[in-house]
Amino acid sequence: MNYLYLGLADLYLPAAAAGIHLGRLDSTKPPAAADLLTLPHFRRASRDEDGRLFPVGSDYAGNMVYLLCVRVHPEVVVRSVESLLGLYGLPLHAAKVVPCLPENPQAPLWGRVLSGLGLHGLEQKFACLLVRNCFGNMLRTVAEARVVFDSAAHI
Amino acid sequence: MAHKKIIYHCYGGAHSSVVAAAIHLGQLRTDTLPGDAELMRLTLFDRQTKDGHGLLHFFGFDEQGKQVYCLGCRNAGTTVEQVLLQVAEMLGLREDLFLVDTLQCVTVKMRIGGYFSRRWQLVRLGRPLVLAGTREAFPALVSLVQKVKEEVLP
Repeated sequence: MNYLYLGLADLYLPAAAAGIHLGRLDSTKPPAAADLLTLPHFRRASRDEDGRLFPVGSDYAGNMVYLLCVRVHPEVVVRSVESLLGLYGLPLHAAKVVPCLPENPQAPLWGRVLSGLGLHGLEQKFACLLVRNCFGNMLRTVAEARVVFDSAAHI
Repeated sequence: MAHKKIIYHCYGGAHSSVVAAAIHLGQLRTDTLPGDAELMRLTLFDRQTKDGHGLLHFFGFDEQGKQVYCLGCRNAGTTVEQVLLQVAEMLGLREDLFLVDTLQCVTVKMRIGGYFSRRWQLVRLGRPLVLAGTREAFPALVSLVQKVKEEVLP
């Protein structure tokens, strides 16, 4: 079973979601910036990393966890992966894509602007703030993905 | 042994990928340009909607038993291709899967007509342009399919 946490234009939200999944972030309180900055691949993705999978570890049940980011149309990517699994008669949990998208789709644009201006420190602060604001939703997203698909794997 | 799968993909999965799949499966003659009726008889030709983007549509088996599909990826074709190939590799299925981008063959008429017909639902305006554009692109699509058939061994 494989979990693919999908981000839009950067790896900040998927890296944090994978951190929750793998127990690298305390799920009882919003993470501190220092905790987030130590997560693997907690950064902006370059153009040639668009659509590339980054393995970040395996959970207690041996499920592999990956990060993935796309610049446009994450819903098309999700549908195409699910469709591919259907083609081979594989269950959805063989490669579960979990979108980790900001509520405001313009948020990654602000990150890009700050990065483009060379304000990398400010961009990271902005990313940490974004993660902390979305933390409740992310906990729910990760929990739902794991409950549905961990139980499906045991059937 | 699993059948090899060839996936033709383009922006909307409604025109160039559908025609390429039809050429591959021998549903269109390659020595003459297809007529309007022939093109309109093809499954999904100028009928795909945005809800179908990202979904693989099975078109049939070719003479070597390979499965032929088409897919609409919007402007994320390269990204979708990369994701699907990596997921296939992760699952040990990489050898079976071939993705072919047909956007390289698309003409300006196809783009404009497709935009009118599919995006704005102005079918009466867009469809004649798409049909004319498809005929213009037909030779390029035929040579692309021939190249794919040579590359993808049974």
